Amino acid sequence: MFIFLYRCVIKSLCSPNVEFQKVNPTTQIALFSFCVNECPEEKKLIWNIYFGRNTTNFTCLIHFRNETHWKFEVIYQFEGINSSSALNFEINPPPSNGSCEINPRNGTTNTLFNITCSHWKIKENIKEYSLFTRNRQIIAFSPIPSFEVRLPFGNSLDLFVEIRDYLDGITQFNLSSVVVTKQSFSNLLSSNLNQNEISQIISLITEEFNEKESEMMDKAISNGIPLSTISVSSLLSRISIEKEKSTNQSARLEFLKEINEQANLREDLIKSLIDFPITSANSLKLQSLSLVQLTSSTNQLTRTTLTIISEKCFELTKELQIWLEKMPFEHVQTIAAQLLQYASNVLTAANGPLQKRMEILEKDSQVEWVFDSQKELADSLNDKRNQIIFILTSSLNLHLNLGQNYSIETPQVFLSLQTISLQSLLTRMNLSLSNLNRNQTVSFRVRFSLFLSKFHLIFSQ
Amino acid sequence: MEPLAIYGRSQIESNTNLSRSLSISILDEKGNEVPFETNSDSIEFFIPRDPNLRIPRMILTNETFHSLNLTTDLPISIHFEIKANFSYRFVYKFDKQSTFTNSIEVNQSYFNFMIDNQQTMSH
Repeated sequence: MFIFLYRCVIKSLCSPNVEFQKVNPTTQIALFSFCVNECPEEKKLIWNIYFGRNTTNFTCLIHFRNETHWKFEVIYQFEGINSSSALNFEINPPPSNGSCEINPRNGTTNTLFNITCSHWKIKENIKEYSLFTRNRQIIAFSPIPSFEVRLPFGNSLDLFVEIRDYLDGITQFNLSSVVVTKQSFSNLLSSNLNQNEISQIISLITEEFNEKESEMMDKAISNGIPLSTISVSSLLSRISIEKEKSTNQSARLEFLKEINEQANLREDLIKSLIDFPITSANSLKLQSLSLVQLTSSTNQLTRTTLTIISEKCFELTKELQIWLEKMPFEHVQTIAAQLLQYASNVLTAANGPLQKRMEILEKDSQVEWVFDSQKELADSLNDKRNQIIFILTSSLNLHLNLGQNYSIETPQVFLSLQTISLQSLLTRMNLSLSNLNRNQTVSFRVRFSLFLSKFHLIFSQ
Repeated sequence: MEPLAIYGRSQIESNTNLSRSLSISILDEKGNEVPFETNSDSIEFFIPRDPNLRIPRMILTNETFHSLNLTTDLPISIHFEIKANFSYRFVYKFDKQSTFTNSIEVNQSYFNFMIDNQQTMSH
């Protein structure tokens, strides 16, 4: 008699419930089986549920949400003997029957809007209510069903609330759209704000910064300043080949003056940031989003800003690693995408001046060896970036089983990951390598970034 | 051909040509990179540039012979766009060497031809 063990690959995502493991309809369960004693080579291995498979891994997505109970069975067939083991799953019903509303339905960027959620079934099991924009940017999260928020400027702002229970079962509830008009914004960051408030204010301030920036860029274009010498454009920016045009020198000086003013404002803002503890996956989402917003204008980040902010990026990446075992894939996706954008911003800002893609800021020119200091910073950030990418890749890979792929497409970076057997990858790409087990599972990663940050070139004739 | 960008304290104009970067890795289960080689053929990648690159204006000529000076620091690719009302043979020549293309049927009003920067190198 042989004993087989198998469990979910990510243990925390399958909550044991005596007879049944509870899982969410959105959760991907990955099961694996192995023989604990010394076993003879199996003749056949069968997974029962949908179809038989002869591998020790079994992956499938549960699309039939109507079914509550599931049984997965694995059968090992040896010479003259069969052995089997089974695991039961119960689908955790996501929160239902409730509603949420937003009040008032229109206001300004200074208005506090109230979100109230009520009548959600199994109320005692609701862990968190969180508010998102339509493009899935988090605005706030709250353990209580009624909370206040500041909203970004928008003519018809579509928002939704995510209601999440303790087992990470989620329901999305769309709110009626709201109108938020712009009003001059006076509120600055103060120490008595919580992390939701801080992040909403950062959104509003950076929105103003971005507006100012697009004005500056428009002016730069009309004055014939070559954009490639003052900024690195996003991967999503459209082809707009510039015509040769003579540059207006005084316009260039004016542009640089404005860039420096903005850079100093950003530096002050970043210096005033308070470190909040990461209390949940949503808190990590919120904090990483704020930092993406703060770093989005890569030609306005002083070395002081970069030093502070790169440290934070690294800290948040390590937090992701800590929270990883408790996080469903959809959380990891958003957080990893934001951290990648953030790391890319930091790196672009540090390397840009070295490649004459942007100007060295005034504050950074007041040292003796301007280029040396910039290079030193860029070098240390390059190293850190590699560690960050390493952690983010492995965080995403944890959720990718054999044959699956995932990609992140942001204005700053494209990243695609595919979990595949080494043999089939080599065949597909017509590659070779030596001394490696071709049956192993590998991850194939393609990364496309804004520009060359550090490179080694070998010329062959 | 000049090497690509300077990296460090240098006042020379940098020559990244506004290139984006592409990296391809095979990672083992621990996340470490696995070295690999191409079998026989090389793999080609298209790596775009920052669209804000200023490229020189198109040179419009109405003639059967045109010469172009390629002595610059940067690697150059050349794009031809030809409009003709009859069949023709397109010949391009680097220094003393001629290269013939196939004769072109005129069933298309425009003919596009590109010589990439590998081919223009060291002429």
